[in-house]
Amino acid sequence: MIELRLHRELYLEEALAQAIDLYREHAHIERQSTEEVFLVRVSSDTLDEREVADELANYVLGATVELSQKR
Amino acid sequence: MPRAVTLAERLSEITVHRSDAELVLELDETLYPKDAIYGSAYVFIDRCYVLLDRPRAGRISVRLKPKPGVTRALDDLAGEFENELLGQAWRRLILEENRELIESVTTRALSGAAGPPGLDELLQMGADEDAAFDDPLGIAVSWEEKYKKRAAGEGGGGEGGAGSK
Repeated sequence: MIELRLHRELYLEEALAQAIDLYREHAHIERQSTEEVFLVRVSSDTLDEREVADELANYVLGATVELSQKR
Repeated sequence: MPRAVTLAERLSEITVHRSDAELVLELDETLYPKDAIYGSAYVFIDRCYVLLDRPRAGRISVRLKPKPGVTRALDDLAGEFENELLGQAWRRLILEENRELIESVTTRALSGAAGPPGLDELLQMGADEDAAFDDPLGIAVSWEEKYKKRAAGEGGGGEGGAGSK
């Protein structure tokens, strides 16, 4: 299992929700939130968990940038 | 006496932590605004896995890990990222400094593109009847009125025109 820590000041919750919806079909994804960060746990029996987690993080970042520009 | 640190020197103060597979750049947010970091990170997500973090207040770290198949050296990627970051920060600075001018030019261009004002717009501009017919140069006086025959007893010669013949 891989755990991602995405800081709330740098990543939008909406972007994270989009990414989880998209990547849920590729891996098992759990999400928790603290005051500071979103904790995302990625696990998979068939795919490289590290790669899925990295791709998910990239997706969240891209969506955050795009959503921030629209606001 | 210590030498003053220039803006260019401050902008080059980026801490880089490097391992075999990835590198982490740590940036001062007062020098590189979050938007500039977002812009640079966005440019790199096609060739690297990019992860942002906040190691402490006022600092943002950027982890760059090349995607499989990317053959560029980590040092080259770090240099390219710093260049992109500097460009993004500089563009934002120029935009901020010229915001008023850009807005003014845009407003004038848009108002020009809208064409001359119609009757409704002219009426809405608040010109009342007195102001609308104020004619200090006498331009609105008709020819007939200006050169009409003087009443008997006022003397014959009007100034110029048909009335003077």
